[in-house]
Amino acid sequence: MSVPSPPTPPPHAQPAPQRVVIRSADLGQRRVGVRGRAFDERSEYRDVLLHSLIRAQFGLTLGFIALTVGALISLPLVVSLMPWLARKHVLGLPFSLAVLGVAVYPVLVIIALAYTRLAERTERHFLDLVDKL
Amino acid sequence: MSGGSIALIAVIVVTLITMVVGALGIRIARTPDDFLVAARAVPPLRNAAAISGEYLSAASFLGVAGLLLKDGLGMLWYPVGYAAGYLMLLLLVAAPLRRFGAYTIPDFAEGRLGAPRLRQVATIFVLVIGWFYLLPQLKGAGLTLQVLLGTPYWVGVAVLAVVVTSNIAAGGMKGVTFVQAVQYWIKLMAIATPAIVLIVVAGGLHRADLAKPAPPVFDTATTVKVQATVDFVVAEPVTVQAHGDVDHELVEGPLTLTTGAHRVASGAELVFPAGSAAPHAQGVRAQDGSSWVSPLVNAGHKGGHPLAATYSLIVATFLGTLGLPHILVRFYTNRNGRAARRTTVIVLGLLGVFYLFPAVFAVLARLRDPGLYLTGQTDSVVLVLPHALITSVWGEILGALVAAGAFAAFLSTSSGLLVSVAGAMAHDLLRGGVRTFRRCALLAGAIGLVAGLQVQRFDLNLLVGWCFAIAASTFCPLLVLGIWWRSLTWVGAIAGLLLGGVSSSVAIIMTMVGVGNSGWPSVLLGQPAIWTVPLAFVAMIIGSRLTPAQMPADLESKLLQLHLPEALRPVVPAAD
Repeated sequence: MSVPSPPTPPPHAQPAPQRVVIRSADLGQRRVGVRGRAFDERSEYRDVLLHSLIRAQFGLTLGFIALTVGALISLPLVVSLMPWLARKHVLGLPFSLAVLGVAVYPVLVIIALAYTRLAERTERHFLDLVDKL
Repeated sequence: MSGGSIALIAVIVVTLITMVVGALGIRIARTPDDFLVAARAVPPLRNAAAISGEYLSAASFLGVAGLLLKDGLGMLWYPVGYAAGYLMLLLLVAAPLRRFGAYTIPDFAEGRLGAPRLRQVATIFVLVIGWFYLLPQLKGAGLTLQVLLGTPYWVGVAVLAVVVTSNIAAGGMKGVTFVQAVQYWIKLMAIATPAIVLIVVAGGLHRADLAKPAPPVFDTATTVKVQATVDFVVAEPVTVQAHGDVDHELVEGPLTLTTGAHRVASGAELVFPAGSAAPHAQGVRAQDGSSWVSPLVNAGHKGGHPLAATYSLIVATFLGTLGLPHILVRFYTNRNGRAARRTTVIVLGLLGVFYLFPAVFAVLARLRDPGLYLTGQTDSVVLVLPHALITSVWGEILGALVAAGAFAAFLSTSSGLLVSVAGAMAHDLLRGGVRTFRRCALLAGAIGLVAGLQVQRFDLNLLVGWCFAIAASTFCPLLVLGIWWRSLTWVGAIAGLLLGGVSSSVAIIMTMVGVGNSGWPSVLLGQPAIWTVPLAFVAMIIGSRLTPAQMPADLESKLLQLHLPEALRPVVPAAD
């Protein structure tokens, strides 16, 4: 049984298709068209909007630095005020090892995850605001 | 087969993996973009593994455990700070820096503030930090081959310098990204496996009574082999079996070591009876259990000001990471600002997993192998402990695995450093292309090789800690203010870079030559970040306030570039 092979177009029978380079970096920006133009054209709002975004992001950053300071950097102070703490054991490990060797790392990751969520949310709100204008 | 040859094979395998995986990248690396930032399209997990692979250096792999063993659990602030630095990086610079889209820190400085002179000053500090950071890697390689194979110190230094330099000159950064992602996993396996096996062999960590108020003792009769001549201090008289040159006399048989200083020559062996206290090498502080378990730096050090020393270390490590040029250049390989944030979170997780393990070696060595306090080779604890605690062939195999991991650490960190140093020379100073980059890599490697031969006597973590202090006092304020403060000018930036960079460098050089060895001077000069970082910030702010006319004319568009989310960015037409 023979299967007819699909007809091969003769070479150069039709104009070569335009070569388009799509970089993966562009894929996350497909909504650029509409919003980007709106943002650029309303330049009287542009600076105000931008500064509100920077202020919001910086406020978030400061808040999380304060949280980190509270969680981690207060530790040396606490221990030098209460030196008996260092001789305690937590889950069979010396206090220093349990806190600075183990517990601190998940805490850092949780703080980082929370910040990333909130920073992305700030950006989403900003985009919504731009859309409304 | 002896332990040395198993270790040698492991080191050769890791080196070959590095060169082969690097060579696979060569086919793709063609444009300057490829060489410098891997064409900016590395997915977050691989990029995070590569960043972690690059970051976990000799200091993390060998130095942390050594420092913990020598100075106590307060030194855990080093790995905590090395990891927490990425949190600060995430909070302050990751996304904006990527969105700004410059290749290097000098690029950022000139792009944001518009002054060629600022670029030159920034480039000088990229080179200072890069070469300074390269030295401990080369030292680590020299030490590792010395401990494992008994080769002279220069052999390891030369092997590392040649392998890394040729790899970089051939493949640039594209190859390096793959190599470093692989090397993170090699390093994790190489430290986690022996650590877990040793915990099992030792019957768990929970029985460890580390806090007892006495210095460490030999729990069984222990033979201490001395590889390099050492002066040590005996706290209470002890009778040992000696073989070799002790206090300039050849001894064969029992010998009573009196209280005080002694010298034992290389090649000698001392057998200590069970229950005797371990003597300490000159320069290693004997600590009782309660100060060893303290979570403060310098605890139990007379006039060590533990609280101030701890905070100064925290400032240096938390803020130093975000000023390390070879780490920041990796953030341009992220797809966009959001990917840069995600990469950073993954890095934090990968580092956290790795840093669980070095402390295991320190705790077990203090309990089971305190002979390291006598020889003073605490930096080699990770390398020698598997062999010391497991006498069968499995001890040799685990030792070889650790050696491979250590070499992976030196290879990956020095590769990143060399890319950053050669990139700064080729791109920022000479403004050249791929050929210039290759030549600069060769030159930078040669300079590193010569300098690496001179640092045999410095502590691994001290050298790295100083790099962090310089980075925290220069690029940290430049980036933080450049991203978040609109009024920064190039004049203020140069003032801060010079004041912070010069004051921290001078403090460190004074410590290296031995000025101020006790009390406040030792804290403020040996760990200067606590005052040099604020100094640099203040200098940048005052300098900028005095020169408001120097603010860039297109400030708003620079801020837009830094902070605008991806969805609003105008599409930049592809260059090709």
